[in-house]
Amino acid sequence: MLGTELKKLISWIQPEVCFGCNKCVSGCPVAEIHNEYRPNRIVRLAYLGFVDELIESGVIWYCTQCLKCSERCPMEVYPASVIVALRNIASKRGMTHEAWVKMAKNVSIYGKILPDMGVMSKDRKLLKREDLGLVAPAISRDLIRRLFKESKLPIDIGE
Amino acid sequence: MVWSSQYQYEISARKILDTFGVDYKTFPEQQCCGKPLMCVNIDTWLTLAARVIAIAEREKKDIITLCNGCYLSLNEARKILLETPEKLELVNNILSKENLKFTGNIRIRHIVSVIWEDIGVDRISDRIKIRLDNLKLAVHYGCHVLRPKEFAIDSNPERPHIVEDIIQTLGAESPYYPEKFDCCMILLSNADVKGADIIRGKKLLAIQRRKFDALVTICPLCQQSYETRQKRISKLIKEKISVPVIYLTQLIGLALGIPPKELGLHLNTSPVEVILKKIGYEHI
Repeated sequence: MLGTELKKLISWIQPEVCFGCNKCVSGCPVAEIHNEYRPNRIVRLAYLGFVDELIESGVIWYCTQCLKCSERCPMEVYPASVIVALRNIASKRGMTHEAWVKMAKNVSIYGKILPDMGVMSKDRKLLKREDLGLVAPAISRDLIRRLFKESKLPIDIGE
Repeated sequence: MVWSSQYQYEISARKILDTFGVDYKTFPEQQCCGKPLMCVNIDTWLTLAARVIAIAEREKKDIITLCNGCYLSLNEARKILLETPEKLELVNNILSKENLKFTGNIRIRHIVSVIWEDIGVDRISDRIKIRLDNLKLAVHYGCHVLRPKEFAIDSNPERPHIVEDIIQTLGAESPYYPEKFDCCMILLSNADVKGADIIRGKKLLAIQRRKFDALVTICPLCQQSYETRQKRISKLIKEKISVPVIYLTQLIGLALGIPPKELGLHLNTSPVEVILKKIGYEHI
């Protein structure tokens, strides 16, 4: 069945009803920069089963998830969600984009996507959270690792 | 309240909430809302989001997010978990080991909604010390507080008004501009930073050319996109970009007479000195 693998991940997508009105393309900021990037093109290719090709091409990592396509679509296809489903499939095959792997690793170490490196003020002082009177996060690495493991995150976050 | 790596946003938000007596707490054990994991494994995203919500539920408090991404991530996760019993069971099994449980009985609100509904423009108006007259500000809502419609912070997400109304109360004006709803492209920075900078440059250049005094943001990722890359964007589009980018909470604080340093303005990386001069501060 076409599209079943995708729908198992995200139940509300409807790639089969797209009739090519291009409203999704009209709002897409990535389509503005890249002439061949079209949300409806990705949806149709995914639905027809060209999942390997889409993943190999790397095109699925360009979407900014601005959600204009999903909002404007008159048929409730939800192209942005189709792309999320494709990203999940790619990750299951060990092909997560490196930036997302880095974010996952950071979440496991710091509890969030960026380490607390402090910030440089305009008068050239390196200030940390404590210097600014802000409470510091205290998140256990083991806890996050357990959450990742039990939810079956398909990324090896190392030590 | 969920914290932010953009320290100046957190500082100024706390200042505003404290000034108006809004009661809130921050929990050191609260971790990332899980949104970056949504594109890798949906179950991991749902687990992380559920944990953030479960901690707030344990304390019987609603959540205030400073970030648009967190706002949508937590609201969407909450909806999916309430509508999909298998996922609800999965996350609660994982959370039970910490004696946490997700039931979805608290609200997840964006700080702009808290300012609009709980504080209200009248109370802000009463406390204004410096009217921001003659300032023309470009408002940037970002994407995830307006889409999907069901979670939007404004009742008319295609023509929102709450941030503009707050700005009007402070004395400034915020006219429409065609690039207003352009995405800050933060997620494209991973795969194609040049493409992302082209779209950002287009928006910043338009704001500069239309003689706006500053770009006002309500999300740390949007602020970061527009504020920290102006030199690189200038090189790319071959035009000098110099636009002050400021958080709405910092703007409100300035109108209330709070000194710039107490609002973290010395941590902004864009030329905020320019706009500070216009309202009477010779230096930060």
